[in-house]
Amino acid sequence: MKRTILLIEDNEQNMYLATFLLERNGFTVLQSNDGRLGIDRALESNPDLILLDIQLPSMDGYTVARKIREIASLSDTPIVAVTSYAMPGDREKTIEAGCNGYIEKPINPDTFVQEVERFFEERSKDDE
Amino acid sequence: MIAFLLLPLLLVSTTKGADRQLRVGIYDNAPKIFLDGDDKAAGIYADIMNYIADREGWEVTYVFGTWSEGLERLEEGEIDLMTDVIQSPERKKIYSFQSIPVISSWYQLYTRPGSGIRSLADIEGKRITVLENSMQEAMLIRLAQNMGIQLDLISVSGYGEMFEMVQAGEADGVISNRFYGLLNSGNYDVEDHSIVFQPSNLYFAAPLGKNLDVLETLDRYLIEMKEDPNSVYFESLNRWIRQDADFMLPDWVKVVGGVAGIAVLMGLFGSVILKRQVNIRSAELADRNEQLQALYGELKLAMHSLNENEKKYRTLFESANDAILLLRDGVIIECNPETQTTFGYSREELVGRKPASFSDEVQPEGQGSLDKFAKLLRLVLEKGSLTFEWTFRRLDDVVFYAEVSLNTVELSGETLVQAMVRDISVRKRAEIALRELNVSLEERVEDRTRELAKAKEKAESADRLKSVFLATMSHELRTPLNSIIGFTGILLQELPGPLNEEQQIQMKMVQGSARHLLALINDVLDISKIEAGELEMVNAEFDFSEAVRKVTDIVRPLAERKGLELTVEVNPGIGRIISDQRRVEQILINLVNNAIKFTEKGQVRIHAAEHPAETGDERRTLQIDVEDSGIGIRDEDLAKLFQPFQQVDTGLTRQHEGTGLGLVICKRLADLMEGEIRVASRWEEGSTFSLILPIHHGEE
Repeated sequence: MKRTILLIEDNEQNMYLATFLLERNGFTVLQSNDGRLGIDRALESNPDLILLDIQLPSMDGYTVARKIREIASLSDTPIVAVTSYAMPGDREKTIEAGCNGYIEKPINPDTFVQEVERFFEERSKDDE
Repeated sequence: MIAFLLLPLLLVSTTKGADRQLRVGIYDNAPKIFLDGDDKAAGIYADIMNYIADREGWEVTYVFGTWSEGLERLEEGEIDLMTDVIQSPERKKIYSFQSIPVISSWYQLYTRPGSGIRSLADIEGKRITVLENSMQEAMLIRLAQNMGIQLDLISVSGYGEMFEMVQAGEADGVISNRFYGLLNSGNYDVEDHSIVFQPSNLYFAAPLGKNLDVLETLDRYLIEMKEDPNSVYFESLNRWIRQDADFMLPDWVKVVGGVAGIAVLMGLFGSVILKRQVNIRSAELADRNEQLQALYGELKLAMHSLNENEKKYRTLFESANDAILLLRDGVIIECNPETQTTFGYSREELVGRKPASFSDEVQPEGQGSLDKFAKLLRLVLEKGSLTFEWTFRRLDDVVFYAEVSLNTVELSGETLVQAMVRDISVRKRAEIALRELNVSLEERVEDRTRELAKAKEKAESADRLKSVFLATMSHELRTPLNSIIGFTGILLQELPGPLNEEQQIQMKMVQGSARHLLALINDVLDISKIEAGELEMVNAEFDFSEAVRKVTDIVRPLAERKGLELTVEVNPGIGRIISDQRRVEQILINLVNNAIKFTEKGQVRIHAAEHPAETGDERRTLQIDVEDSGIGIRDEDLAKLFQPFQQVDTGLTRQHEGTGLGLVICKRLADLMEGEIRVASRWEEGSTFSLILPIHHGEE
């Protein structure tokens, strides 16, 4: 079964890069370049995992994560923050907002897919 | 001379033209008046009276009794005249007097031998006899009151009895008039004391408003007689007193005169005739003069001791360097000479004023001077003394500060307030200047503090700005780097399609540069975090040798590529430690990377061991040496090692890759872990960098 990942990212190049890497590795990638719209997209598509940029138009990633966590059908969906915010406290803030993990930008194309896979593994562990 | 009988009725018709009958009171006071051996009136008064009566055709009847009885009879109108009466305001209310005195007298003290009385001061507690209802009795009572002494006064009706009492030891002294004393004291065993009081004039007195014509007649005759040295008057005096030495006014009279109106005495002795008569006594008087002066000295002393305190007070008062004001009910009644210097006003200008009237209208703290001084006066009457500061206004309008001490003083039985005023303007001005200086100093300190706080705030805000700027920059730089690193990676993975050899080389160069840029960004971010104090150590327990293995795994490919031998020796005793694993690894990677970078051949050796702490306490330290056989560092370059962007190099270009921030970060991180980094190096022989950390062992 093909796994679906919702990518919420406003930078076109980053969107392309991540999509390219993920699709090459057999994921179905859904895209949204806006925080609010991203939530709608998540609701209607119910993805297996959400990759979430933090700096977004209309609504920042922290808020998006919190909103998604309030939606019952999405309360268990893994959310992984992908961000350039690298100052102290950034990682903690994403976890507080409801993210399950954090991948620092720039992403390493050699290891990116493996890191994403790890969150699937953790989830399936939880399922057992 | 006509003799008068005691039974006048038999003699009425014998006088020539006897148209006036007079009853004259007499008593026993020789030689002035007394009854002689034939019970006839005799003495000075009798001689004068008989002479005038003879001339005027008066029929005189003498009525003998005690002194008191005589006065009583005169008051009751039982007699028409009384002899030998001193004038006094009280007596003038009930008697009428002549205006020319018959004679003058004074009183002297005669004492029992061995009475212990030497001066007036000694009469306290002594039994002194005095003529009943006499002026001298009243005078002695008053004197005793004034001196504050107790006198045992015995009032007796006649002089003879008084002397007899002393003789019998029933009394210690007699107050006698001079005439009686002169004539009679020789008959008794008494000492003549030369203590004199109350010189007085003696008159004939009549009941009030009666016999005024008789009194006038007596005056006329007396004037006449006193001008004629051969008159009956002087004949009588001469006869009874027997004084004929030349009269000389002795010095003591002047002295005594100051004490008690001796002028009257002089009036008597001043008469030319008497001069002659007193000559006889002049030698005696000279002798007495000496005695009297000595006694007067004592008298003065006694008087002085009475108000000694007042005297002392006055001396202080006059000579004090402070202005002293004496206040009664808040009004100045006296002030000392210094007040003129202090206030500019003369004593006359100050007496009768209130101190507030020459004070600054309002005192420094804002209270009106009049009200405030009144309050302070009430307070001092409660407390007895009070000191406060006050501003006065001098006559010349200069306001000055003073220290005022108020004290209550008891003077002559009333409570007064003494104010001592000391000008403290100089001290006060110094105080004010000092206070102002203090205030301005405080203001300056406050200003400086504010400026510093501002500067600090500015610096802090600049620092925050810097941190925010760096964070933003780091974010903004990472985003494009994400693309660069990402796509070069994808291309090099040949996911989109195969690359030829040249493309491979060039893509790797792009990848290297991008990674270097990322490293720079990460290092800059690290430093800014450390400097902003935002980097906190995350201490946890970990296996130290495992961490070293992790580091060597990362760096080993580099060493192998350069053909360097990488050896690791970790003392097995170290085991698990508690520290920030990530930061320890970061430092080690940096140090080993550097060692490999600057070594072309030979080896890089990692050695870790535990040592007792140099501080000598229980703590131990972990020392990790990274030793290389590289180019080494010149002594002069050692100092630059830990400064940003100071890659010590040999060549013109940067031969060795690196951000130039690695050692800076290592040192800061070591500081944060309370450790240090040491360097030992020899140019062209190699370097040893050592990380020394205080060690906290985890549980085994």
